[in-house]
Amino acid sequence: MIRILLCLVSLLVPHAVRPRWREEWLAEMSHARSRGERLRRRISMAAGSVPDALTTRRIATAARRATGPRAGIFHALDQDVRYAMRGLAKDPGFAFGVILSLALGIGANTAAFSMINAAIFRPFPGVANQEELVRLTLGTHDRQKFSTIPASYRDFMTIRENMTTVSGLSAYRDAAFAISTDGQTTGVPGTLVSGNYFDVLGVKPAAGRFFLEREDQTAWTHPVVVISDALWERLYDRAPSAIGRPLLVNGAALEIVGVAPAGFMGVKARSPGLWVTMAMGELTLRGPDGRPARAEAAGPLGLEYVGRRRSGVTLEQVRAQAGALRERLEATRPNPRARVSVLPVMLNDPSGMAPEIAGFMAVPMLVLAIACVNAANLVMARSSRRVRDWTVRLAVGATRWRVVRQVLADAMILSAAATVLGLLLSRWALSFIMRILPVPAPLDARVALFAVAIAVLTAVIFSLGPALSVTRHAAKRLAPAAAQIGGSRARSTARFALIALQAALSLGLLATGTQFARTVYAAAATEPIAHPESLVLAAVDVDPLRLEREAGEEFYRQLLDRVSRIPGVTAAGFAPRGIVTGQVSGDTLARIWLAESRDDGTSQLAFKVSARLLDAVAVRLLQGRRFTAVDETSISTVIVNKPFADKFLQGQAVGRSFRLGRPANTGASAMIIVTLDRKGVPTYKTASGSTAGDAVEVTVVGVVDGIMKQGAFEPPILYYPAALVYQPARTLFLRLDRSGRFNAAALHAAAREIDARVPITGVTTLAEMRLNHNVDVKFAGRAVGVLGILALILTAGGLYSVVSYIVSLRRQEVGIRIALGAAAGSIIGMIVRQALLPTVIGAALGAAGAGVVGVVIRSRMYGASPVDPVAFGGATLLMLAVMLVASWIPARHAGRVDPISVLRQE
Amino acid sequence: MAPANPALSYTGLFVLQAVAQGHRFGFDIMDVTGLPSGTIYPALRRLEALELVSSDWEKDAKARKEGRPRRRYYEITRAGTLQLAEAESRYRAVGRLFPKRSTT
Repeated sequence: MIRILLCLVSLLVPHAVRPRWREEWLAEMSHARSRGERLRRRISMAAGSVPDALTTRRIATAARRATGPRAGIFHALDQDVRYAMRGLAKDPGFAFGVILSLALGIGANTAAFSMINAAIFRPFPGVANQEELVRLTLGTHDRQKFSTIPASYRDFMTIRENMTTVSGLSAYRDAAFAISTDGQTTGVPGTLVSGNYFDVLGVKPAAGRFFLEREDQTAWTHPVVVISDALWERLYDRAPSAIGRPLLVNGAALEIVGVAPAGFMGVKARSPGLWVTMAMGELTLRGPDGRPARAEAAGPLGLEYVGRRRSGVTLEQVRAQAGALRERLEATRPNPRARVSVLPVMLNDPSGMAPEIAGFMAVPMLVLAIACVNAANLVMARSSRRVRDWTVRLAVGATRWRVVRQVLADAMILSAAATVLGLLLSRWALSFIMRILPVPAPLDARVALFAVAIAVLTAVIFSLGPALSVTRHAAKRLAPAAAQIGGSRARSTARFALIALQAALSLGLLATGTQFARTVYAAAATEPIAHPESLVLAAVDVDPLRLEREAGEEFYRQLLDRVSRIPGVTAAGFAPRGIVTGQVSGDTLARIWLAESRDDGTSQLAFKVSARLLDAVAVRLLQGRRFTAVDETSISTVIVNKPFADKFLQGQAVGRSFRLGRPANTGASAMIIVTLDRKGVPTYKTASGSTAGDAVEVTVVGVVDGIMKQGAFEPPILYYPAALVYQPARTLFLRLDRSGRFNAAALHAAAREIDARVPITGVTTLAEMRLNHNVDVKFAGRAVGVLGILALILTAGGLYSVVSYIVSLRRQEVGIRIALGAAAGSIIGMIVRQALLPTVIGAALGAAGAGVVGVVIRSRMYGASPVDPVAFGGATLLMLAVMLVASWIPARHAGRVDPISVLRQE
Repeated sequence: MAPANPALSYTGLFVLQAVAQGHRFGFDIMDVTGLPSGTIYPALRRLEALELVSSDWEKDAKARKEGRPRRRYYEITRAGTLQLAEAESRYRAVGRLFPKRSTT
């Protein structure tokens, strides 16, 4: 029993001496026992161990405090913290101001960082040990720039056979599938994967199993499919019986063998609905002849590779082996410079994104800088009030460090509180952002660490400068009366310099934000197509059905016929979507040879449009005529836009002829190089051009106005009515009548009546499409604007507090002035003028800075306007008005100073 | 480093004196001074922290032979002896203020 008591008491003793302490006591008790002491006495003796333990503890702590330089620096820190808490509680206005402004800055930064964190470091759901995964990319290395080459299945085999450092290499490729259930067909994004895909990623199925290696070896022998958790829910209500059921995918019945876990998206930011083996590639792949083809025969597929490092193998070793693959690849590929790059698997590779990250973080960092300046201002104002206190402390023997440490303790407490508030604010901001940009951005440990780091940094920045400068002053003069009057000028200069800095930063942000917003919205405002709200677009794709060309054309002919008869539709037509978005793909480029040219022609934008499409889009005819049904039968007529007529046909287009080659039609994987010259005029190059022999002679029958303005500029475009190549995927354009009412169900019904297997997707009006276009750019503009307003509020708050402080400091002077006959108005005017001067200087600097940013944005962002006087003028006026109010409110107090009471104090 | 002239409490002086006379561990000191254990051990700790006594452990072999835990022995240091001598003279001076009363 005594033993247990001693062991318990020994817990009070510091760890380092505890065993020795216990041993001594046990020895003593055993000695007492051997001496024949009675139990009662032994117990009372053991009770003495309690005071002994406490004494040992006290001696040990005293020794720790007394020794070592570190212990000396932080001696009696708890006192500082307690004192700081008391001081802050007595000055709630100050504490509130600092906490709020820092919380805004920290919150903005945490929100921005958690978005970056989410964009880069967020692990892919369902993937095991992501850090072991490597992404292999085939490409060429050219002038420090790595450009990818669409890899073929053969490249995959070559790489797979030779990469021994990787325990499994898997290939995958995005594909569009159409699934049919209950007579309804819907488009589903899917992924074509090698059989080992799920094994390499280490995924556990939510139900059933994943692919077996043998299921990916021969075509059609194992028609199996894995579906996503979302699709499982949608089609089968998560019934386990779904496993083993057939699913009609691109017209073929595949057996569902398993379900991927919820949220699984492979190692790419895209959520497929189903996964099909490479062996079944024929369902979606096309050979060079445009016919369904197996993966081996489909040519360049644009495969992506992911592998898992063997245990103990470093990324560098994998890279070294991939580098050695070069010769083998050269033996099998036409491109001699092909090489394999190896990267770790992340959502977005941060290595190439440094400028973007810096740009993204720069703006919230600026806001934080303003918040720090603001807090520093408030600390300085408070420090001046406390200088007497510090002078006394220094006089009675406190070290300067002790006083500085007191200020730092204040700052740490404030910034800790601000961090908590900032995290709450950023959570709120993120939930708001997520409504605009649906990216899950959790506040994880990395974000928390970041927030703490910037909080500490912030605390040091905003308090150390004022603390050092004020204690220096305090140390110099121990006469408190002199301190108050002599030092105020020097310190108010510093304060106004800070105000000028703040004004510069916030005006810079405000002007940049305004300009950003104006650029984005100006682009949206110049809609070249009339009544975009009554133009409906829908995507139709017969590609998954593997129809022959004739059957496909027949489907489209019938569809157009039926939708034209839907009530409310005034005109309908087909065209590639690029006709309104300006998106370039292989089949929207054609080569033209003008009559006089002998060279290999020039690639220009060329859109296949059906006869009534230009009516549906309601493009204005400038010269000549529109297409008729006759034009569709064979290719002999074209319509060009005005820039085309001006550039190639000297403005006299109608009746002129030139030769038109076939579009490249290599699909999405074709390499199209768009280069813009100084004026922003694009030239296009395709990897494979057609020769003059392929060309047909065409005559221009009409000239139309532009419908594809990009900024103030429209490229030369030609429209042709008859097919040059077969396009299985088209966009349907429907122009509605004045009522603007449209029944999407009628559109789906029309397609279903012809062929129930064809999905119609993405039904939207042009107005909606434009609204959703560039969401991220609009968001960025709005975010910069919001941060600019935040900065303005912070600056206004800062100016307000400084001016009110100055007013309180100059009460005596103002009282004397009033006693001598100064009018209240002139006193207020004097103070406001003095406060606004640094603001104006700062505004000038800020405007200059924003101008530089504007020029940079212009060089980086397509179609951005040059430095915008309206944005700048508006932002400057707004800021000056806010600053005027912020300085005028506290200045009024100066006008109300009662000279008698002031003089009495004197 | 011990302070130049540490203030020594009455009990501290008692214990120091006991150690100087060769009572080398807690129980023994308790026996001879009659002070409770809750006073003796803290006093020993303080004396050791002031470097007036030093402690050492009994030889392991000896304790094992007798089948008991090894004991901690205290010994007066040089500083302790000086301190004790100084205190002794001080207490003697105090003692002179209280002349012995005659028993008669």
